[in-house]
Amino acid sequence: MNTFMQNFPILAIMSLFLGAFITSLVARHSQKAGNFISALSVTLALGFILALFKPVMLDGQIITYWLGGWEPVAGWAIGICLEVDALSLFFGLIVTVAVFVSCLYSFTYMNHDDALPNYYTLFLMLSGSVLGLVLSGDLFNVFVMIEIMTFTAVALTAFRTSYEGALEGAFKYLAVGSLGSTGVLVGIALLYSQLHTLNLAQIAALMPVTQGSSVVLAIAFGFLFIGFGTKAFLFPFHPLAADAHAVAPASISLMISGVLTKCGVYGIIRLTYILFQNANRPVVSYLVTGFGAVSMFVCVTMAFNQHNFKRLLAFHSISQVGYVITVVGLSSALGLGAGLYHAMNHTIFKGLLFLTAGAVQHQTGSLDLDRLGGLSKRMPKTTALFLIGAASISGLPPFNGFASKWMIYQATFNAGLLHHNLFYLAVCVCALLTSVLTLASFIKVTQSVFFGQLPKEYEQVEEVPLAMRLPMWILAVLCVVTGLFPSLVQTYLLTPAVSAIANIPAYVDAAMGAGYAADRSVPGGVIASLPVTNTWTPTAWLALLFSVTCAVAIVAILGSPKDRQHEYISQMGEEESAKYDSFFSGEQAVYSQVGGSDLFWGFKHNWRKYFAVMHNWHSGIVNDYTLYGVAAIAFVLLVCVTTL
Amino acid sequence: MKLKKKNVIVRCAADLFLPLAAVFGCYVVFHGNTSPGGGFQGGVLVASAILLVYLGHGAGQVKGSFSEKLLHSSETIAEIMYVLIALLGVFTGLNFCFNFVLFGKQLETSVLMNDAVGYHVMAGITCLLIMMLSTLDRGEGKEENQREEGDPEC
Repeated sequence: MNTFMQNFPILAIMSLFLGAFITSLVARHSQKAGNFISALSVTLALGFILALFKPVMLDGQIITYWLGGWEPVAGWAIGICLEVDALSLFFGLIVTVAVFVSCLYSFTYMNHDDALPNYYTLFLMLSGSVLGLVLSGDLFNVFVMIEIMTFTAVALTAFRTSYEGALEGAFKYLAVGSLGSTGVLVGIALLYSQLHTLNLAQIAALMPVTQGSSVVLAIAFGFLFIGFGTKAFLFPFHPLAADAHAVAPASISLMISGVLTKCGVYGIIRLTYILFQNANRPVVSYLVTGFGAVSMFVCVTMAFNQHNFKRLLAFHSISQVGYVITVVGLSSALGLGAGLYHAMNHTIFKGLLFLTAGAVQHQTGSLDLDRLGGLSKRMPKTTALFLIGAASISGLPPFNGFASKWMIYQATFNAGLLHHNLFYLAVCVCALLTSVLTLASFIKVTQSVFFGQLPKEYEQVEEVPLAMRLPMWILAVLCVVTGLFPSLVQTYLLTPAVSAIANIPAYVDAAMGAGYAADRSVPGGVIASLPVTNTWTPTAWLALLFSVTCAVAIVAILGSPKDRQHEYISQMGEEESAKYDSFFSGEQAVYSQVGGSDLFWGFKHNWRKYFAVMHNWHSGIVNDYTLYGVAAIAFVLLVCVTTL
Repeated sequence: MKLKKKNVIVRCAADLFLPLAAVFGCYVVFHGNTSPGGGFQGGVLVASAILLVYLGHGAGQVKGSFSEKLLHSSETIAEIMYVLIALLGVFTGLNFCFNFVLFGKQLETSVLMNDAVGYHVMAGITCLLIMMLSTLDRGEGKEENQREEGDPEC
C-alpha cells in the first residue's frame, strides 16, 4: 500500500461533505450543476472506499489516520483518529454503495420537488456523517456523527411537507431519537470519567483492567447499548421507523433502513465485541439476542396488518435488523458472520423494495395497499424487480436472503446445542416463524399491488423511466450475485470482518503503537477467529426439521377449533374497527380489494387478542413512545447494574 | 408597514456599540490562535452586531442592510474554504488538518482555518438571527394589520 492511500478514508468522508457544501452553493443557480456535483461526490466516495478493499480486506491491514498529525504521546491518544479495520470497511462499503444508488435514483425521482438544493445538501451531509461514523476511531466523533445523522435524517423525513403526517413523523423521530443520542452522550461521559480517554482502541486496551470493579462502566455500557439500539430502531423504538418511513421520500427510506439502522448495528458490534469485550458473558448475550428476537417477531406481526406499502416495508426493515442483532448477540464467529451477511443483504434487498415502492408512488401517487392493484399489467419491469426483492427478503433460494438466513438458523441452532440452552433454540424457532410470516406478508403485498384487478383510475399508469430502473437493477443484480456466490462473500467480506473483530490486540496496536496491547495484556478477543463457513450437518438439519415441526405445532395449537363459527362472526365486527385505525394499519379504506389485505384473515383471526394488545400499544402519541424509550433505558440499566 | 421610530438614546447607543462589537469580534477571530476565544466566539460577537441594528433601527433597517442570500453564500464559501485549507495538508504529503507554515513566516494553516470558522459562524449566526427576527417581525405585522382592520369598526 502506498502512503497516499492512508488518506483515502478522510478523502471519502470529505468528498461527501465538500460535495454537500458546493452543491448548496451551485445548485441555487443551476440544478444540473448541483446534480453533477452530487453524483461526482458520491462516486468519489465509493471509489475511495473500493480502493481500500485490497489493503484492508485482502491484506488484513488496519489503516490508522491521525487528524492534524496528533499521534498518541506516552501511551495516551489525545488526537482524533480514523481507524479503518475490516469491520469498519465492511460497513463503509454498505454505506457508500447504498448512498450511490440512492443518489442516482433521486435525480429522476425527486425532479418534481422544489427546494432541491436543500435536499442534496442534506442528503450528502447525511451520507458523509454515516461514513464518518463507521470509519471513526474516536468515540466522541461517533457521537458528533450520530447527531449530524439524526438531524439531517429528521429534516429529510419531513422534506415532502405536503404529505399527511410528514411533520408528525419527523417530530416523533426527532423527540425519541434524541433520547438515543442523549444515551450515547451520557455513556461517553461516564466512560471518559473512568478511563480518561475517548480513543476506541485505547478504551479497548484499558477496559479489561478496570471492568468488573466499576458499576459506572456497567451503566455506561447500558446507556451506549440503548443509544445505538435507538439508532437501529430496536424493539421499543420501532414505531418511529414506521412513522418516518411512511412519509419520507423513497430514496431517504432507503437511507434510513439501509444505512442508518446499520450504524446502530455497527455500534452494537463495536461496543460489545471490542470496547467492552463482554459479548461472551451470558447476560449481555441474552440482552442483545433478546432485544433482537423481540424486534424481529413483533415487527413482522405488525407488518402483517399494514395497509400502507412503505409502512409495511418499514416494519419488515426492523424485523430484518432484529435478525442481525439476534445473531450478533450469540458471540460466535458463525453468528457474527451471519449477522454481517444479513446486514449487507438487508441493505440490498430492502433498498430495492423501497425503491420499487417509490416507483409505484411516483407513477400512481398512492401507497395504499387497498386501492392499488394489478400494476403488473402497466409496470411489468418494476414488478419483476419487486419480485426479486420480495423473494430475497422472504429467504427463497437462490437469492441472498436465503444464504444469510440459512446461516442465521445455523448460528442460533448451534448456540442452542453448544450451550444446551433452550433460549437459543426458541430464538431459532422464532427466526423460522418470522421468515414464514415475512413470506406471507410479501405474498399479500404482491397480490394487492401488482396482481389482481387493475382499478380504473390506474389504467393509464406508465412504466417508470430507465433512470429510475437502473439503480433498482444494480440492487437486483447484487441480490442475485451475493445469493449465488455465498462462498465468495464469505471469503472476501465476512471472514476478514470477523477476524478483525476477533483480533483486538491488532486493533489496539494499530492505533496506539506496537506492543501497547501486549504491555496491558489485552485478551485475544471475545470469539475465536474461525473461518466462517456454511456448514451442512445432517443431524443439525434433522433437529431443524424438528424445530420447524414444533413451530407448526404451536401455530396449530393456538388455532385449535373451539366454537370457531361463533368467534368468526364476532371477529368480523372487531377486526373492522382495529383494521381501519390510523396508527395501527393505515387510513380508512373504502374500497377493499378481494384477497389483498384480507388474504390471511384466518391467521389474523386466531391472533386477534395479540393484535388487540399491539393495537392499543401503538397509540401514535409521541409521549407514549418516549415513555417506552425511557422504560427500555431503565430496564437495560437495571439489568446492567445488577448483573454486570 | 410604518416604521416605528426608536428612542434616540437607544439609537445612539446602538450606533456607538455597533463598530465596537464588530471590531472586537474580528479581533477575537484574528487572534484566535494565540489568545483566548477563537473563530467560533469571535464570529458570534460579530454576528451580535445585527441585534444592535435591530434594537436601534428596527426590523426594516435590518432587512435593508443585510442580504440573506449573500450571507448564505458566504456561509457555504467559508465551509468550502475550511475543507480546502484542511485538505492542503493531504496534498503536501502531511495529514488532514495538519498545521504547517504556508508562505513565509506568518501564515499557518491553523490560523486560516480559524479565520474560516470565524467567517462561517459570523455568516451562519447572522442568517439565523435574521430568520428569528423576521418571525418576530411577522408577528408584529399581523398585530398591526389586525388593529388596522379593527380601526374602522371603532
